[in-house]
Amino acid sequence: MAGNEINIPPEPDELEVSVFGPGYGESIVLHLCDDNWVIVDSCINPKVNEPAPLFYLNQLNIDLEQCVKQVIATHWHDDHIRGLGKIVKACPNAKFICSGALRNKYFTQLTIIYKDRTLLGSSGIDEFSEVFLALQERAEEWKNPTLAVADRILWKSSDSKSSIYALSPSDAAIIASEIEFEQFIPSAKQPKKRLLPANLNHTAVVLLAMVQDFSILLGSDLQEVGNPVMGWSVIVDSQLRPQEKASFFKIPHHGSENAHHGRVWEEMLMHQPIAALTPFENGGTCLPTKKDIERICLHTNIAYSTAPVGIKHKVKRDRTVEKTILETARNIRKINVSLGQVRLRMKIGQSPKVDIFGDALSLQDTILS
Amino acid sequence: MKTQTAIIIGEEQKMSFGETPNFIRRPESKIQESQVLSYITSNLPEDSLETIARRLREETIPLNGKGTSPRFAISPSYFPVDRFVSLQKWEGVVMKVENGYFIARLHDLTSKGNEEEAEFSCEEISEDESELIVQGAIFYWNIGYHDSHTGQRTRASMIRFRRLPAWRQKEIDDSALEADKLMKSIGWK
Repeated sequence: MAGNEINIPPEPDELEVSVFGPGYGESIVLHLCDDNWVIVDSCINPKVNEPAPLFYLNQLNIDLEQCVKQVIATHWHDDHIRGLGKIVKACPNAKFICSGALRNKYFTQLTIIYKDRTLLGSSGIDEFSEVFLALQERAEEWKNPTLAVADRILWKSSDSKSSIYALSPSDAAIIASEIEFEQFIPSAKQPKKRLLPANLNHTAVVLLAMVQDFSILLGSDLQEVGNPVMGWSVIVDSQLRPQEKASFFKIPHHGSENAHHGRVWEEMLMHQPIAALTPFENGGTCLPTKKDIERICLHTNIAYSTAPVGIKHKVKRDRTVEKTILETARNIRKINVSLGQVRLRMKIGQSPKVDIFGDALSLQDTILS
Repeated sequence: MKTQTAIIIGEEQKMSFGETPNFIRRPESKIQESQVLSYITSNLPEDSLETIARRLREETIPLNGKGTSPRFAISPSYFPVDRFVSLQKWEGVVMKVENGYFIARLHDLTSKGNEEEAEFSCEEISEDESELIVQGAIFYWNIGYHDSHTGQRTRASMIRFRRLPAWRQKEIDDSALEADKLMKSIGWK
């Protein structure tokens, strides 16, 4: 097995799952053996200001044009999408896949309305307009995005040993999202402002990646709302999804209680799976909470976070500025301090090995810190 | 005597330091001098003159519920008397508004790349801008020194909300047509 150095690529028969998170943002890179790479979502590596998956794959000397087979956007929220336009450009032969809910005239219209980046930062919608632009510039056969919907196979290796399934969004979630996107379209005379995503996490794409008998469940941000035709309930009850239990779980929605479904742990995961999450700090919300961490640790003791949670980092500034900041604002803190990576590698038939890089740490240690 | 140029839509005026531009004096304009200065100070530090010129063409401002007026600006050297020396600037987006305070995401304009989150009391915002504190609103936060014409220097923190223009029906209709073309071009229609 390759060593635990960050820039040594996996061997051809070695699978990899890498979860990246800088404190605000999430991205996952999969190696499903034989140079089949998949990028799921994107976040920015704050040290180099580049999309984290691209920077990582370049460090490994992976041929992006030939080896990246799919780029998947699980949903359009800012914390999962920053830098995705650059990735789609850099991987011109990768199939672009997005939630079936996004093939929607109102969503497409929103990408036109909010494509102007005169305001700093990204709202997610403007990043998606970059993605559409990159797709339009592609060769004809790579322009058309594939839609991820529940119980659909998205990719299979030529020897059929590896595959990826979409487990969501459900039909009901797609229908509901159309109304929600329409509500985002501004009316005439309404003042312009930044579009901030609401909690539309029921259309996020949950993925099940399988390499022979090892399965990986990537929960995206899908929430559980207690509705039998949406969220995790419909996935757990589906008879059409592959029934394999996963050994690796990317915990949904930053470990939040509203994405927890007990039957997922019981029916879709192996006993004591390896789990990873990315924290989320935005708009005063800080996830996971201490209670979330305690709940997750009851289900597995092999859980990791890509970054510490709730630590107040500060930007060092001139004393006069510092003094004035304290007089004006409360609770100012820096976001996206540094990137953490949780990486699982495993040769088929052998035991998995987990390495953590950057700010990543065991979830238990997150409570202690 | 040194003169400055006031730029108004379709009108220019040469004037001396300290002189009030004609368009402010005009009773029908209903614009206060403080509004002129606030527009300048809230935009000039971040925006190029080209950006301002573009806004002059595109934007209007409400006049206390009595219609709208084109925006205007005065060349920066018009106000050499009082000066603001900026030490730190941010662009902010309001993420959440709750009981007398708001939480904002801040993009550092002085040391680019830093992203911060801060909580502000709504009392920090002037009364005439308090209606602008809504989710998604954009503002600028400027910390620095205010040098007065009498030579006094005071430390200052200034939060100014950006008054973005309203959506026009044509923009919305055009976006629907463009979205239709986009969907066709990527095989979604």
